[in-house]
Amino acid sequence: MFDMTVGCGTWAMRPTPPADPASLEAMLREEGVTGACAYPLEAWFWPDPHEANELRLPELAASDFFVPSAVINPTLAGWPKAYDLCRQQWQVPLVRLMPGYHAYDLDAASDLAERAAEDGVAVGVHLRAEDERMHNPVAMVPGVPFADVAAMAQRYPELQVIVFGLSRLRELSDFVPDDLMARLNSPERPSEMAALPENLWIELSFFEYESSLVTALKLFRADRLLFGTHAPLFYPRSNVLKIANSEADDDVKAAVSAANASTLLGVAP
Amino acid sequence: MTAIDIHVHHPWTDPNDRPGYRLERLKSLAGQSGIERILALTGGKGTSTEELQRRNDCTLRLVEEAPDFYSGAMYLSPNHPPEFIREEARRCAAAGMVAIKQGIEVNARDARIDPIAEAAVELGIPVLFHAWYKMVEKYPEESDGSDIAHLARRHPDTRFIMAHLTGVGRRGVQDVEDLPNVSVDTCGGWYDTEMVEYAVRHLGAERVVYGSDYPGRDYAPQVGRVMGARLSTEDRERVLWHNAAALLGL
Repeated sequence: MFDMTVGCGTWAMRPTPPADPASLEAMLREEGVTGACAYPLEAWFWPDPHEANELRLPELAASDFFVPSAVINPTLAGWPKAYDLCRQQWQVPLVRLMPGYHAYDLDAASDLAERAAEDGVAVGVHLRAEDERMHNPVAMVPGVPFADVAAMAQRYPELQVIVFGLSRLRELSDFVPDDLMARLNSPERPSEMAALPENLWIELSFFEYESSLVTALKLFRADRLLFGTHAPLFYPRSNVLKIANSEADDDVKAAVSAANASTLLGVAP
Repeated sequence: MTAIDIHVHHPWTDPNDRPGYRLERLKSLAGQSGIERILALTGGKGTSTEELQRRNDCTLRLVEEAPDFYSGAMYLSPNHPPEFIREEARRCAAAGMVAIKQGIEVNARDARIDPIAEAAVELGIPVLFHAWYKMVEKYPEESDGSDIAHLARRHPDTRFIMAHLTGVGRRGVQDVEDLPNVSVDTCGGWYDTEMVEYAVRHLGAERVVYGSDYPGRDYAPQVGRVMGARLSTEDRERVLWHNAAALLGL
């Protein structure tokens, strides 16, 4: 399995298991994960997330297990320099945006999106890091609207856009007919799916319904779904079992577990 | 490793009309994650006495049809007369129900809950009570850990299961730490690391019990938080099976 989203480092809001690269790798390997796209966990809260990139990416890039990914705040004047450094020094195939925690609308990432599309770099947008209902009262951060990410994908068809942290079906209301929502629990697969741009990929660590993967397959193309654990904030076993115990066909599980990520990031499955 | 899931909702309200009900699929979904038995829960907020009885009958029908898979929890409305609460509790227990569910109809501090707690102790069955500390999306009467603790102190002989460990969080665990008549179930949103270990450390493994909150949640990742927690084999078995079996008298 290839894990599309793990954070390396320290989380500010509560204890987590050790998440230095070696500990993180050991934890994930124990769950059957054979590779992971990692980002610096400190980037959620640090004022310049590139300082977190500089702290964590050298070790992640030197690893055979991790594919490094950078976190960029496109509202900082120095973002182009940070972006270039991450590309040149650590060859990141994915740049992550955290608009909620860095307090901007995705429109502010237009220049970065254009640049990434030109360079063949994927852009990931994190809708959330935690359940908003239990946020620390001094750091209550609303979720980023899914529609904003879909709009980015629509606007830049050459850009591969990943949405991380999609959780509830209500976030999809603009893209899914009401009758499809009503039929999600039906054993039959609906004839139509969510109307989304082809260059939009969905990571599943927060997506949870009765038989989560089967529900996701009624909404999204199988070749656009990505397995992720959201470790060390979530127990990795939860998302491993979400795929492994699913009723979905084995070829679909294989695609979601690793092959889709391989296609997207250009890494060996 | 096998499990009993103590927190599974069913949506049916009429025993003779269960659209989409497929027992084999439900058993299969649970079985894929090692869950051999579930406690089936119904709601009844705002119902008449007749409607509430129909809902409880619906749960009883499930248990009658598949006693190897279902255990049943009755819903009792704190807004119904105490005499009806007592009679309905006795009727459901006599028919085989092994627990009482409480949701967000009335806060746990409210005296209207007392007849339900008294019925539970009379019948020797636990009360599974919804609880959550929320910064947003809080329901008007929704209980939190301190409310459950208030109720448990009022009824020290009643056994309570405070639902949603991750929802009540560390504050909720501490609220009930000194109350041996309160256990906590492991569900409540996503699978935050260290939370199961925290509960076991503070309450003891014998007071932590696995629950999923299916079908709003998925068995596999919910059981994964227990399977993935750093627990001894003995403690994991307690959380997944033995504690629920003891609480439900199985």
